[in-house]
Amino acid sequence: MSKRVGSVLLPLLMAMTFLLIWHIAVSLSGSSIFPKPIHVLRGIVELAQRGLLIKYIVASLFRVSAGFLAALLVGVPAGLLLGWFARASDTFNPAIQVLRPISPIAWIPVAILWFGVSDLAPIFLIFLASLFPIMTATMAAVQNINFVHLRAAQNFQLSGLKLFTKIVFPAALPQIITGVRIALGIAWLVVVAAEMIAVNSGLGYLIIDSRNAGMRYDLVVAGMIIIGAIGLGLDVLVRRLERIEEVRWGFN
Amino acid sequence: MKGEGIYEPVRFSGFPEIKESIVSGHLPATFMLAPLAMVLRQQGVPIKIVYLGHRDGTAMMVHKDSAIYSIRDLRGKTIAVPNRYSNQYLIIFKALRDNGMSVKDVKIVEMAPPDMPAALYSRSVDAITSGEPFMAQTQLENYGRVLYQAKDIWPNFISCVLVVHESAIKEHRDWVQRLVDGIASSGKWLEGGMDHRMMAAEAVSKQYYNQNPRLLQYVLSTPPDRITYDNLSLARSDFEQIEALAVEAGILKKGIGFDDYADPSFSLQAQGGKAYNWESPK
Amino acid sequence: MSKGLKLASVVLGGFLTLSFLHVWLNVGFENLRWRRRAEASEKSFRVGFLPVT
Repeated sequence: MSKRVGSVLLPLLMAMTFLLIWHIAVSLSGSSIFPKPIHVLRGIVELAQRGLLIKYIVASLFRVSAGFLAALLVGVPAGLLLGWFARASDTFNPAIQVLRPISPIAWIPVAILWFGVSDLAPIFLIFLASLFPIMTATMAAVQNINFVHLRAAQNFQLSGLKLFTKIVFPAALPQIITGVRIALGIAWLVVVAAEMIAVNSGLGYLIIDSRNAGMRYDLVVAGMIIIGAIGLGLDVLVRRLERIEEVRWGFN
Repeated sequence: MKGEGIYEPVRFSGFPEIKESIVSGHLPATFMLAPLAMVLRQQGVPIKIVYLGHRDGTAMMVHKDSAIYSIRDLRGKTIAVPNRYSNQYLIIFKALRDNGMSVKDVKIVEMAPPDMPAALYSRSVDAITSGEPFMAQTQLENYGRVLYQAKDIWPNFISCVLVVHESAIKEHRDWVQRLVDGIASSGKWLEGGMDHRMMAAEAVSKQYYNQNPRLLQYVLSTPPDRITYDNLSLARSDFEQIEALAVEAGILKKGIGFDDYADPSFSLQAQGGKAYNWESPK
Repeated sequence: MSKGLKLASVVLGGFLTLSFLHVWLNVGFENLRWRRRAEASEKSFRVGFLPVT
């Protein structure tokens, strides 16, 4: 019981201390631009009252989900194939390693040229940002499968598709899910950059538009905080998933 | 753009995104910096300048505590412009040249207009120049001082122009004409009285600009001719002046002319129009 | 139903709900691309701008 309380109480205490330091720091600096915690709170309430809070959260979640799921559907199979067939991996890996470090922001011009001014452009950017972490984690997961397990499976006359679904995939799964968790974090990180492209809704849009709208830095920070909170929530969700899978394989 | 139903304004946050959207053909028309439009045309993008949005409305601001009181004082200082292909940059070039200096005597940085007030406030740049309302914002918030208004150095200063993709001109000529007519008559209405300007500021600030209405009202009134909205038709001489300066400043190559990048047919037809009769939607 | 399939259907269901919400709140059902295609270029002329003079 005390462990439970501790794991909630301590972070809460930490958060309150942080808010206090924030408030004091802004007061001391005499800045008329940077918002205090209370301003940000009022900003969030204002967004809720204007009905924008839900709209923007839904918009960003939708774009991230769409881009991320697309990256999953492409990245996991591609990673499995590339991880399994050494020759394929040798052929494609250099290209992947070159494309991977390119920041999504650099892809913005391409996104606009291909997808114009619509939801597709941010979704494409998020897809790109998530694709490479997922693919490389999956590839590594397959390549790292313990040879002993493979040998044992082959001794049992398992081969081909059955080998794949019964042994390879489950063995690789924990590492794949870790890669997925990291990729989701990246996808959500990129949402601000992705929503710079003339969309008119979303948390990233909120931040950019509030910054352009004169002195609404309270909304900018409000957007940041909401993004952070949702990012945390998503991470917790995927960690739950990780725990299920690990337990399963552990028992095998 | 007032109440015509089919026109859908799309707000952007930077000129690069506007550029990509019209180059890719996803946007049939947009407002854009005049020299940028010329440069794009020279690079082969099939666009035509068809009208203006306004005249004047650009200034250079310095921090009110700075020792900069004339162009000469800009020597060695850092100046933020919206884009190298802008008349804001060209006007600096012209002002420096007329004072026996060159752009090598100052440091030019490109910066998105919304970021400029904060940059001036924190004195990370010495001077900023772009369109309104960002210049007036520094005045209203009491840290900026006007070094010059564009109209005092370059009368009838043009900043942004209405640019239309040639395919849109071919397929929807009548819409382009109606758009130009609409801008012309709105412009006349705005020039018809200060109360019109105040009404417009109130409506536009919330719906299109996402700015504080008081800021836009200030911009449209102090001084009353800070921005002017009549005389928006294309005049060859205006543009050849921009062309000449741009070539001299090295941002445009020779070999392109008014007939290449502009299509004055729409503005000629709009000239006979009357002022729009507009009521604020309550 | 295997755990994997269960998970996949939850995720899919969640995503479809999210998409519906997004179209309802942000896009508007009349504005969906496939509906728009026929009428799109006849009905709307987009004009870009930056909120600066």
